[in-house]
Amino acid sequence: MKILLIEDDVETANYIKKGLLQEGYTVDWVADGRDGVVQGASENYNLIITDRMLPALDGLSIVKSLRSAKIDIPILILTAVGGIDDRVEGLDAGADDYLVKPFSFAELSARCAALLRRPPLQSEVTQLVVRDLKMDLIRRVVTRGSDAIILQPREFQLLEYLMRNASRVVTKTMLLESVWDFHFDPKTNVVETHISRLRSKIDGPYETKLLHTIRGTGYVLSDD
Amino acid sequence: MIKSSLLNSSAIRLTLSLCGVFFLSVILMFGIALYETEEDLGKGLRGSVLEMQATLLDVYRRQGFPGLKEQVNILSVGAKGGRTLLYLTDSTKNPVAGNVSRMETFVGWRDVVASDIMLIDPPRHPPDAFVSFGTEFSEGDLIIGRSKSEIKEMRFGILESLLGGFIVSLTLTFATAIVLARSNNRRLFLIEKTLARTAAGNFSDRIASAPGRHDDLARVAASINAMLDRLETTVESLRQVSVDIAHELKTPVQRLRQKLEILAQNKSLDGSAQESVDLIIDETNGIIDIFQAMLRISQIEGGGRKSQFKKVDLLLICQKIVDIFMPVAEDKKQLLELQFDEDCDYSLVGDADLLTQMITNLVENAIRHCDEGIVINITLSGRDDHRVLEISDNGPGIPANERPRVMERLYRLEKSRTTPGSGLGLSLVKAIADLHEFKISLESNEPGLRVIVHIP
Repeated sequence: MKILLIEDDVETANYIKKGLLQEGYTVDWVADGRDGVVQGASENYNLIITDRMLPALDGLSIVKSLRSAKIDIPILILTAVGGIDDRVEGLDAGADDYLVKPFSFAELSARCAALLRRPPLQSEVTQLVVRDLKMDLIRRVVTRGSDAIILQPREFQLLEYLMRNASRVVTKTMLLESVWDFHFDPKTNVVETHISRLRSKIDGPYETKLLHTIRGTGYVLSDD
Repeated sequence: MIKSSLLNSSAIRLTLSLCGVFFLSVILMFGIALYETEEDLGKGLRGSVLEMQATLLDVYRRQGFPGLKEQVNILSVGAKGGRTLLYLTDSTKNPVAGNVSRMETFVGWRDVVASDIMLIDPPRHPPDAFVSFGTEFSEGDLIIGRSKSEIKEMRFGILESLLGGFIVSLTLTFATAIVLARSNNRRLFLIEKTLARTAAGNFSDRIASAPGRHDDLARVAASINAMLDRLETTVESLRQVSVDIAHELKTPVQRLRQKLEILAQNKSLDGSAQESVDLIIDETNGIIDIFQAMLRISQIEGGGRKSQFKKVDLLLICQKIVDIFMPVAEDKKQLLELQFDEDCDYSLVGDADLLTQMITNLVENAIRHCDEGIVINITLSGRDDHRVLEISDNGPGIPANERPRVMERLYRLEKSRTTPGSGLGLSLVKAIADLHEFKISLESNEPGLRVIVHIP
């Protein structure tokens, strides 16, 4: 997977680049916005990460330029400006995700992975499967093996998100945003509480555990 | 409102006092003038009496008493107008000539009152009094008098014109006073309004200047405007300072965290060192959270978010929050409930994210600061022209003396200083409430805390 990183702060760029390289991505780095647009439009990237504040050309303009050049690959905006309006502005401009500095690398990595997943053709998927855990999206029913598992609506939503991102780490922030539409950090351990309830329902009575906690990062639903 | 404050108006008081002084001095002047004029007229009357007396004396000298008697009779005929009093007696005090049937004789000046005498053939409106002079002869007494009606008429005339002028003046002055006072009041009211708004936290209000006016009120208004400019700039820069600080510190802390993450991945660390690094990372995250929260509050206070307001349903937001936090409360053996008045509509224009955060903060505060077994209630109701959102618990509550300060930034209750949390939660709540123009108050739920939010 090839990623283009457009970032003018050398330290941050190194930090990100190193991390992504370690994860097995190929990374190209440019420090100038205009170069970024040119390169993003001309070469074949799977994902573009751009800072919002850049000399010469700011991140929003980069996104708009790329989008109007019909570059439809996922774009993630990084910013030190934690403006509440900024997120909406960024998404409106055509970006797919928005991450406020400071962020942990794990967060960045998880979001990149989520953006890079090939979105299944919506009409095809009626069922999500992880090992013997099955979720029927039409009938809204969850089974593991031969047992039916009764879930509350929110638990269902949570499990659906985890299953759609199966084998990928999802961070707490991603869950808060996608499952609960919370764009802030709650002070109580909401996510853990819901995860542990879900876990007790889908993993509790079974030998093989599917829902894992990755310390310091998040959760992953997977077979191994 | 303008009516009642007219009495309180300094302009009216000033005008009325001036009027009062003016009228008093006018009355005084008139009084003096009246007195002087009466004196003059009086003197004139006396002069004319003496003249007549001199003439009659002359007749007496030349023609003796009978001549005098004849002259008095002649004059009496002409004295029918009632303006002159003539009375001649013989030595036995019996009247022999004149237009008075009987009266007391005297010598020298006396004001003879008409009711004391009987005029022969009195006119229809006899005068009240006569300025009279009495002379004694060996053959008898002579009294000559002139009517004081003139003086009386003059006095009435002056008083009449004084009263007339007075009434006109008074009405004019009063009307002018009211007009001026109202105009003054209006301008003062504008100043008052702006100052009140500033005191309430709106630093951008200014006093509109009336075109063409350069008087003292206009100067005061201009000075106040200048002062408000300064105040606004100061407040802005104060706000900016804390934002700038947070911004400045975010970058170094970000780098700190990055380095710590790298350290955390160092495989050569033993178990306890690894733990320590994790704890340090947690603390660092805590610091970053504080900055984020401060910046967020500052942005919300800046009001820029208002342009993105949309229609939101508060009931849906509350239901979602209860749904999400009920398990968290249950884990702590607390009960989280939502009650709402079904007849009411809870939609308003606002920011769903911020409102969610506001209510979440309050619910989380309740969950965290209350012990097991506490009941936390969220109530939505409608009252007259506004809605009320209440979040109450029967936990420890907030002491009355700390309640007003609790929504200040970074304020922690004395007893909560050791628990985790930054103290910014309630400031954020207040900032979001202010942005949406909600009125928020804290009360004791006896026991516990009740947070009341009034939504217009």
